[in-house]
Amino acid sequence: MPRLPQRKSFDIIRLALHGCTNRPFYHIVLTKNTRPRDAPPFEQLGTFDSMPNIHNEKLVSLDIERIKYHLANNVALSKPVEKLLGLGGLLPVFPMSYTIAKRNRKKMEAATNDTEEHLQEEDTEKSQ
Amino acid sequence: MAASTTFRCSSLSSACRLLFQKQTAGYRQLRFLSSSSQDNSASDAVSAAPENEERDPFPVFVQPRVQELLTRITGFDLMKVAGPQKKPLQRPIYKLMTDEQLNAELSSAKERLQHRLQMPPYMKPRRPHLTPLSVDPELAGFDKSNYVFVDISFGVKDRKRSVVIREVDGTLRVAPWDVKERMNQIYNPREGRHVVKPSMFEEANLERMISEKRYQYVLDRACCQFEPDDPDFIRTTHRVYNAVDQCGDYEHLRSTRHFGPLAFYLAWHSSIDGLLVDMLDRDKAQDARDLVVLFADVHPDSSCAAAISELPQQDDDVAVIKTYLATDCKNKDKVELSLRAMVDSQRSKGKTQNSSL
Repeated sequence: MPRLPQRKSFDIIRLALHGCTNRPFYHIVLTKNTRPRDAPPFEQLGTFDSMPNIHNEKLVSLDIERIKYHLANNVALSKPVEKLLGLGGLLPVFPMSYTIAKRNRKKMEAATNDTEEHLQEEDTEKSQ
Repeated sequence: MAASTTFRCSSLSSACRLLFQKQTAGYRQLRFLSSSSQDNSASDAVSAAPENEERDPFPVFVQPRVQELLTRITGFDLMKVAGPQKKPLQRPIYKLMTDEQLNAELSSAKERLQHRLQMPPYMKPRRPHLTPLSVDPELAGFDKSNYVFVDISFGVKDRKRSVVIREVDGTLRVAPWDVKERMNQIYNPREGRHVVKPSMFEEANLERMISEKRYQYVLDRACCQFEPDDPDFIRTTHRVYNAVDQCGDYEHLRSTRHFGPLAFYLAWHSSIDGLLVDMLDRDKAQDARDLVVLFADVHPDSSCAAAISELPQQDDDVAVIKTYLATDCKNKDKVELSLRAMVDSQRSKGKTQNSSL
């Protein structure tokens, strides 16, 4: 019987999904990478509310002191967490954030151009 | 840039090393969320404000001498500090005590009640943070909403908590004060404080409350809801102090925690005449003297302060009040009349006591 090689096991700071149906809410937790996503963590290091509130803000709470301690101990970070820490100014901005920002800007430009063209077409139709 | 992708590479140890290198480099570059840099940014924002602003009342307010004067004129009316209050019904507790035990209990209760008279600090309004922590136009449009980052490290006090906001256009800045207050209330809720400002503090409703003379209620609630350097707190309290001064309702606030700040407000704005007249009318010569000394302490450059320091006997209440009358008093006739009435009544009292002896 061929055995699968054992996965490498290391500590990681990542998001655990705690919310209910259609209402995501994340805990930023320290666990082993091999553990299930929402399993009881070693330590909770913060929260992330991915749904904007009435002031159009997404709230992130971070236990900065403990996160710094774990970073100094060579803990790994998942991509979403690294992105959050980058946006918060604790780490350099995550490269993918720049790419996504660029894509979003492009999309918005395209959308505005489209609407402008539409408006112009409508204007010409009206004048005719 | 490449370091972040190494996380998925097979050799984990090298990935971790790279990550760590990147992180340490990151710390050197930007440590916005750490508390020390937060302080720096706050001072930056302060320095951005104009320099020729009026002086800060807070250092004067916390001088031990001023605090002593304020606590002394506040008074301690037991019925007002611990008088009947609306409370859910409960059975009374009866105890059998010796006189000694009763006195000890009374004195301990008094000590406990002194805490209720702790004055809210008198501060000037805080300034908005102006300088952004970092401007990154490359990051504009990364999301449709702002991200607010709150430090919830163990033991961080609300006033020291660092809250930063990454705006949609990519700038990272210290969160505006209202956002910070909101976050404090969300992550560290306090009893009696609401996330949304109660409509009671809107101008029209505030006017109504003041016309109903519910000064203490408004001030208590403002203490609960706002920080002492919140512009809203300062606006509300000053509005109430003004109303109290105009209507002469000083008795409403005597023996409450708001009397000290009221007296300080009046002294700071050089309009203590109304309060002085009220004190003289109530035969509180000691309080009136303390008020004049407070005025002199708050305005050390005034002619009144100079005159008082030159007085031969500074303990003489009437002499101190008379120097104020001669120098900085704006409503001389009224104060003089009240002073004379008080002196006369004291003299007649002394006579009756002498005759009875």
